[in-house]
Amino acid sequence: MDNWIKLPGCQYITSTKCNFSSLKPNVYEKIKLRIRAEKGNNTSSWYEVDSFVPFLKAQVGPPEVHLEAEDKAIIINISPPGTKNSAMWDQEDFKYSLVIWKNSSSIEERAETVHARDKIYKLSPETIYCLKVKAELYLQMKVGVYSPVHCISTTVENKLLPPENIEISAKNHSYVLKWDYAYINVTFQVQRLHAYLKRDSENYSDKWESIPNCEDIKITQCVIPQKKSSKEIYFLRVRASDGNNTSLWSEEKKLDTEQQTIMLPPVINIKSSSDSMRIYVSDSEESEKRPVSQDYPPIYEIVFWKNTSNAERKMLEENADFTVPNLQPLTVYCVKARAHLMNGKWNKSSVFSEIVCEKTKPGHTSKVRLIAGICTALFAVAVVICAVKGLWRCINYVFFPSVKPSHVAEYFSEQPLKNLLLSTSEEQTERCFIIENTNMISAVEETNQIDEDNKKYNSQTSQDSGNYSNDDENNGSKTSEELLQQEIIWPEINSVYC
Amino acid sequence: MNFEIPEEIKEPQHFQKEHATSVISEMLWNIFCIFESNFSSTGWNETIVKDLLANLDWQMDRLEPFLKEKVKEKSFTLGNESILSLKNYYSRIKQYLKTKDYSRCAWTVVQLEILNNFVIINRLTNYPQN
Repeated sequence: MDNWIKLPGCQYITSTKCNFSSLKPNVYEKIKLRIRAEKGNNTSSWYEVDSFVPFLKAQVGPPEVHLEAEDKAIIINISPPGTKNSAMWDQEDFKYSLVIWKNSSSIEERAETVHARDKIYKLSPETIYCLKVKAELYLQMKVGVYSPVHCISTTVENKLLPPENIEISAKNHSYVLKWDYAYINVTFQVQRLHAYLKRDSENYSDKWESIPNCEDIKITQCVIPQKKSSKEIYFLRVRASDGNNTSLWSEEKKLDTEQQTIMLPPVINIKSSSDSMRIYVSDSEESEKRPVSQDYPPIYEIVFWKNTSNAERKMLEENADFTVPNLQPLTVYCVKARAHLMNGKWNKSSVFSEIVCEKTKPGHTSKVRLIAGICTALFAVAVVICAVKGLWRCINYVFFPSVKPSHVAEYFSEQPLKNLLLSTSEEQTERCFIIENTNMISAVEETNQIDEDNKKYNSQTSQDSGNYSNDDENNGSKTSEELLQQEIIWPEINSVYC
Repeated sequence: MNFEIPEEIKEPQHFQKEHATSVISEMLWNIFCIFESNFSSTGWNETIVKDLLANLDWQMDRLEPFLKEKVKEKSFTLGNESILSLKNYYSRIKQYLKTKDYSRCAWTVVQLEILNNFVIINRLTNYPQN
């Protein structure tokens, strides 16, 4: 049964629009609306609107924009669309993009993605700029309406220029920030901001931190210590001061610690056969201790060439273990490799590894020839020995006729040997069980050395071992599922309450 | 306190890779928002909470290129049921904290709930994708 309720703000209205925000519905659940017209005592029938989810239907409105001008930059302050505490966009991660142009020439346009509080740099002083901003929700594929155009004039150029060309590099276990400054007799101040503070629209202007040993410094560089974990993102800024005047803050430089880590070259291992080489590429020991990125496996660029020629073969491999086919036997080939990391935000590469050269094994045909040659040689030697023996006997027979049979001694020596062999084999058959599980051990202990019984137990235990391995598989998968289930500790309804 | 997390979130095998990415993104953002609110009643070390926020921000920063790509490809299904249920779920958590005046007891309940959220995010991340 439907429980229709009257929509506040939409009762007995004369226009064809009404605002029912005061209802504060759950915007993520489907609602149904129905409308009818009334004139005096007459009412039309209800027209039912197809049920819809307000959040999905809603369009993103224009954001509110406040501007503040510097000499070569404009500070923008964007408030998210909708009213404060609006039910619709209460918990949305808006992304803002703006378009800016010089008022004098509306042709020149520059588009940028900005945070809610941000700065637009590289502007000219004493110029009127105009801009408009829109908000977007990537996940919902919602693009909002542009705000009205706002214009502002940049100020006169400041006496003291801010530092320029800020660069970051990694050194040992810290980061080095370097910048350019045209004048001497100034001191510098460096500050940093955790990047997460820019994620929402809260005011972070008082959250900038000074960097120890980089306040009032005279050199154009600052060493920033590195935390053990490599998952940090900061914004850095510098300004100059000559005692009387202070410059404006420089452009903010983003420091992403993962981007700065140096990629070490990989290590190559080769296993060669006669017509191919199996190449294993792995990270060096140091990389394993401190992996550059645990989330993205690197892609390896392999350069492969014959030692005697200059012709290089370049390959890109995702697998760290691959084979190069169609090679010539007994030839030296060389390999070098480097790793590339592409995570959608930046690309990073290591230097090339050391060159590793290896010779392929002798070919199949040459092996055959070798074996054939050896066989022939052995055969020839055997033939020669036989021929010589035969000749010697002939000579003996002709010139030295007395014969002593030596085969009697041979016979006597053979028999005890055969007895030995027989007895040991009997004992050996009793001990030839492969013990796989405890069942088998107990079975072996019980029996005496009777062949027939042993045969029976042999077949039994082989069956057992077969069954046991199946059980192992089932048990294995069960326990991993159980583990997954055990990880979640859902609080019981009555256990925790306030 | 049962906040009624959407059932389908607990089972990663139902999700395709792109879908899982947007679910994880939504969860990370909402957890970020929750820990930005007033936790002074708990006596938690501020630095530790800041580290958590920084980490969440880092994860979301890494996911962004994938989301932008999906928006370009328009391979999202509009009106994603799971995302809506998730938003509802986090709405309930935030409302709970508000009505309990961000008390220490309320934060303890929410802390336990978020811990389980991380187990789920871990599952979604690690489950072998098609």
